[in-house]
Amino acid sequence: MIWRGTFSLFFVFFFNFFFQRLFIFGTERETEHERGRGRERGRHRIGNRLQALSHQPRARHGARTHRPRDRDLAEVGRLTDCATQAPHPSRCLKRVPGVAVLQGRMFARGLKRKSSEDAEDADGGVAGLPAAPSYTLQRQSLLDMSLVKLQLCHMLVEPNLCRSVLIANTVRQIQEEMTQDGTWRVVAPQAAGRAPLDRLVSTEILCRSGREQEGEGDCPLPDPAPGQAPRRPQSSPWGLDGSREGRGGFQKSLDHIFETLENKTPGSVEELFSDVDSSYYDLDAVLTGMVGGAPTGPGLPAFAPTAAAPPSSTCRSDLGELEHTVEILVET
Amino acid sequence: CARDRRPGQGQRAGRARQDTRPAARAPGRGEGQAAPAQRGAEKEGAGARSRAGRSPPRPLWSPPRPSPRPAPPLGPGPAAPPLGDVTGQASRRHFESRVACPCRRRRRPCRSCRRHCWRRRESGEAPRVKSTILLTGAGGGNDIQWCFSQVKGAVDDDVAEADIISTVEFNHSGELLATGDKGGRVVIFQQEQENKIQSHSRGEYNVYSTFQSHEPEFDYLKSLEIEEKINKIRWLPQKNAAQFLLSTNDKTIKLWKISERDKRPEGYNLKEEDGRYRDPTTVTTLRVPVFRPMDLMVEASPRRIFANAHTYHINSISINSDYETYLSADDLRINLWHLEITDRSFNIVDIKPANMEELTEVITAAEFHPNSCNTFVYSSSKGTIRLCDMRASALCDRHSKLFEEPEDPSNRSFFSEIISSISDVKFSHSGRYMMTRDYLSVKIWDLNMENRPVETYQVHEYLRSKLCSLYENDCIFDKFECCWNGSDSVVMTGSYNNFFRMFDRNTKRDITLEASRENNKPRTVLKPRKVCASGKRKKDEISVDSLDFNKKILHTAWHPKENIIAVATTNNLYIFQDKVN
Repeated sequence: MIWRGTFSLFFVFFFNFFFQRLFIFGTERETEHERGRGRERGRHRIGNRLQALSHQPRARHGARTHRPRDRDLAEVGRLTDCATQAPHPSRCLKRVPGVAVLQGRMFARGLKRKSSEDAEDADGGVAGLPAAPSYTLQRQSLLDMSLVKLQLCHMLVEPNLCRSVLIANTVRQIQEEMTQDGTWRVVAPQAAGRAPLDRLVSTEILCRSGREQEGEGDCPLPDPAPGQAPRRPQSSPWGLDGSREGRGGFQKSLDHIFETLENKTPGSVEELFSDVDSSYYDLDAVLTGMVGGAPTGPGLPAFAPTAAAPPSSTCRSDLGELEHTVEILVET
Repeated sequence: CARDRRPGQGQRAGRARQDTRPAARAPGRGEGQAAPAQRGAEKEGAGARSRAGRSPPRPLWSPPRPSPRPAPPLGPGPAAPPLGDVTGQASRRHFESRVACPCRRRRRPCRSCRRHCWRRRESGEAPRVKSTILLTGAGGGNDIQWCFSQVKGAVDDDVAEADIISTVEFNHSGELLATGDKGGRVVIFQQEQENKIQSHSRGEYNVYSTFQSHEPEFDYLKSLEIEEKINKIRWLPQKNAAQFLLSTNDKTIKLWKISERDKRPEGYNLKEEDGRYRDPTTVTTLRVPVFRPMDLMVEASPRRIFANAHTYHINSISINSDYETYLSADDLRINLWHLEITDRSFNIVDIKPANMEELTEVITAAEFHPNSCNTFVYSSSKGTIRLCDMRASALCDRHSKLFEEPEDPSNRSFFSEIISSISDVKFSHSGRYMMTRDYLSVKIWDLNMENRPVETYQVHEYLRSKLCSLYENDCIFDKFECCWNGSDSVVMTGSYNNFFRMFDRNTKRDITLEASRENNKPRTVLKPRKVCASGKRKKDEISVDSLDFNKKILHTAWHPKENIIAVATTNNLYIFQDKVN
């Protein structure tokens, strides 16, 4: 049978992949000597790095974390300025009933924002004194920060459910406020051809949540296509219209996070098995380092290179593939 | 006073008098052990006296009355015994109206007080009490001067992640102190027997046993690594020569037996001393092996392993007062175990919603009531505490009591929910009160009142304006623990910058101390610290901006009987005790 013939080869690829996986994990560590420490335990570790060493020298002044966007850096800096210069709790992040009060100040750094927000917040690029930023801006940056935290939570090796729940509740609270304030933009669903599939799904959910307007609890949203969900949270805060996608995306990220945090049901295991073809393809792609290239080899069955699924860069997908492989091997 | 009439029999009369009012005293405290026969004999003589002076029947558990004496000055003051009223007035009063004895050791006048009192009353002097009673009974973190005793752990600043202490716990007698760290190890310290010659300090804690409790594991089904960090350690009360403790990581609970071995058999017939087997043909005589003393060896062996019952991370375990069952709580479920049975547990609380997307609340801590074996509480991330009675139903999803304080609308912000999440809940030793720790405050609840706590202490209110920065660097998710002292009069909790705070419930005073290597000469008195929130910084104060948020004290423990505290910084364990003159 083909199975027997290729069994040894799969073993070889399995172990190769296993060692590859070690390397992938290795790049995640901060310093090289961490790798040695992991190995002496017999276990490679991806520590919870978020609140550990990277923040140590700077956390004292509430300084910025590693952020990929300059915009976020500036916002975070502003938040801490707010915190230190305006110690009055009533001025910082205070929920103002009704209309969002404009503080009448402008950005210290004169950043360009979306025109819709500009109309609310600043009037012009006059860089005034560094003053308390407006409430909506604070809220928006808090929302972005929370979304990033949710993503990072989700990508950790040991997801902390309590932390995820608290951050998700904060995000929900902001969402409710924004909905009540009317700043929650309900985007009309675009044509399927123009927008990528994921954005369509997100706007659909966006519309639904905007229409239903539930006060406290979330309406149970249908689980979006599993292929889209992992992509959604990653792309949500990026780009200028990131916040719009973010509002739609966080729902999906919430759902996805809670789905993955709970026990995998047998149904999802079947899904894993159904994906076995493409997973093998991905396995080979990772091993050979080629994207979209057909692996050549005498014993391999002809896996036609399907639509080039981008090689999963996150470790969780790698782990998922490893899991597929393990399941297959165990079954045989 | 009966003593006035029969001074020779004062003691016996007093003891019997205690027994005539059994219903009005807290049970289980063992204050009077007079035999029932005595009670009958003395009743006539003492009965009239006791009836005349009896105050209205007290509730079953009543807190120690706040003393009427003036509050002593904070900090290192004169070493005068803070008895307050040391004239004869107090002694007269406590004969007449049965208030708390000035030595504050008992509600009824204690033996030593009474003995001294009547003698002194005759001679006109003040009652004199021994200094040990002063220290243990005076209560109050402020009457006590804390001094450094020991520090355990590496000296260098480079913190190995595996050495980070994750839990600290004294055993029931206080002789043993167990710490668990992130590397899965448990280190047990034992208090040296008190040296009568060196009466200026209580026994030191030295390493008694070290063992690897949990190993890192990998969950293949979920592709998740299971950390070996010890989340909680709980001691079982000692029943025989061995000690037992429960230690847990995220998924597995283990029951460890720590036993000593100081003798070993020698003189086997078929084995040499080093274990090699002798040739049976060379054996000419037979002998009986005898036990000979050897160096003390402490062995730890896992007796039970309770695994595979939790989907989420276990955050707390608590042993029942029947000492046969215990509960383990993870984020969404609480399971009840029997110590002998490892393959089964009962799920008693399940707050997992049918749809995980609707999840808004998780369980953060759970504990059994110290006296009722059917009552337990669990706290949630929304700031509520639920008390459940296991007699009501098998699945205790419906609480018997819900403790929740209505939110203060003036303090509302985006972070209100996060900072209201309760990180630790602890019952008092008496069982009437429980203490909860959320991010900024410590609240003491009376189990009889659900709508608000009876006392609230702000731990680090100056951080309220910094919540945004703390959210950003994730410090807002830190889970601090809290603890009671042995007499439930002082509560202690940790803070940032290696500060820890103590709140005296009677005098309503608080003190902030620092656990640092600077004052690590033995018997150095700790200086109280102060953090200034705004603007003007006085001398010796620290401004909020210069606090080090990486140095946090999350785990503290208080000796159950004496004034010895163990405070865990990141990778060091500090032991402080009160100043003994």
